[in-house]
Amino acid sequence: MRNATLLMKIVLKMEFFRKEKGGVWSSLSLILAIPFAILLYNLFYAVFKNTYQTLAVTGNETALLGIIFLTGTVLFIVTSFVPAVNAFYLSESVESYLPLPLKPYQILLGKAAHPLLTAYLWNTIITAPLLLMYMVQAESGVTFFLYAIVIWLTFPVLPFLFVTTFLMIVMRFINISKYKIVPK
Amino acid sequence: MIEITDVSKNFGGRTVVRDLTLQVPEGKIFGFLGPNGAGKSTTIKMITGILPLDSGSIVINGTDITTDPLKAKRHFGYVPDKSDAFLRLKGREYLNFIADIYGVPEDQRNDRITYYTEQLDINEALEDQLHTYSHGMRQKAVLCGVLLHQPDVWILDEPLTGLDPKSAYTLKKLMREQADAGKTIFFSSHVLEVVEQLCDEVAIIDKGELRFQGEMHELKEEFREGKTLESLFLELTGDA
Repeated sequence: MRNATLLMKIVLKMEFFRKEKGGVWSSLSLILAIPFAILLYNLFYAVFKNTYQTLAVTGNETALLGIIFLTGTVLFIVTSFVPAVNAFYLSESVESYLPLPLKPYQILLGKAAHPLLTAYLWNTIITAPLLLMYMVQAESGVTFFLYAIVIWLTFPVLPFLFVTTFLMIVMRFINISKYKIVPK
Repeated sequence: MIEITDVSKNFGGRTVVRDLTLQVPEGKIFGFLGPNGAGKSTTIKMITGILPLDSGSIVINGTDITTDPLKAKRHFGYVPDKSDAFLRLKGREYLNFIADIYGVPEDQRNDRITYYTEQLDINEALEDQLHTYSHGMRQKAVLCGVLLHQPDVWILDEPLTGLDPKSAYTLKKLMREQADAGKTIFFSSHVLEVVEQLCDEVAIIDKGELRFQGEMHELKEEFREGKTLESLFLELTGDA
């Protein structure tokens, strides 16, 4: 497991912290995005609150949880697709990992680190606030909170497995790696 | 020692390596020669575990690469012909990563990093990311990674391509030192001058088949009959 952690750390460092920086404009837009995001979350909370109250009249407020997870699943499938294709089929990095004394699962975890972390970022931005909104509205207790944490932690794994399995099947029939552009 | 026995490899119905049998002894620099597309890189990729074998076996220092790849991989260090991974890492980070993977202790690794990067003249670029390095510097960084864990077997794919004369000289010196220390040095090349200068033993491969294997003096005996290494190579690979 130690080697898997080492490889994942290296891959994440290269993918998230060492890409070309966009300069001043990129930093500025990131700063401007914060108040915009707060505004957007507030606006969305108002809509969420209304929907919750409307559904609660007929006792169907739990349908919101279904919508949250359905939205999350679709989002993870869409956003994991490109990073997963890049990591598993277009990147040539596996040729550098294979001669190293690493077990197959360690290489697999290293390769999966980037697309999986991308899914967790979306999970933090979308699912976590929605679950929090639901908790506030439902005035849920500690048990719900604990369940929510467990579900939040495991939630992106299934869509990710679905995407990678789907890609594995598709790639047996089409070989897109011949069109690859090696990511630098 | 590397023992390659009856190894074959096919790609899409085309045989790239056919029934290759080679023995690469310890304490010698072994040159693996062949024209472009002869199957040199495919053979090296099979030795290093990048490609699976279709048939045959490859044993490195007594460990089969197919049945016990993890142990076999600990026996060798590999320098590929191009080093395009880990480009966003700094030179020092890359070397520390390799040292971690091979379990090189902290105190030894620092001394070795200092020593070998100075030898190969990349010590001043250690805090820069690898993508800012030239091809030759990247090769040197990978070479330092190999030297860090001091493997018994060196496998180098076209190692002198892109190296400046000084670095090429240093690499050749290092290869000789390691061979004299009893290690196995296996390298592929199509630069005949290098092979002539450096190798104790050579194998010539063409269209996936072994055309010649023997010691350099056996080849040199051919020179006495008025043949150069170039003409012999062309004759063996069917281009004369």
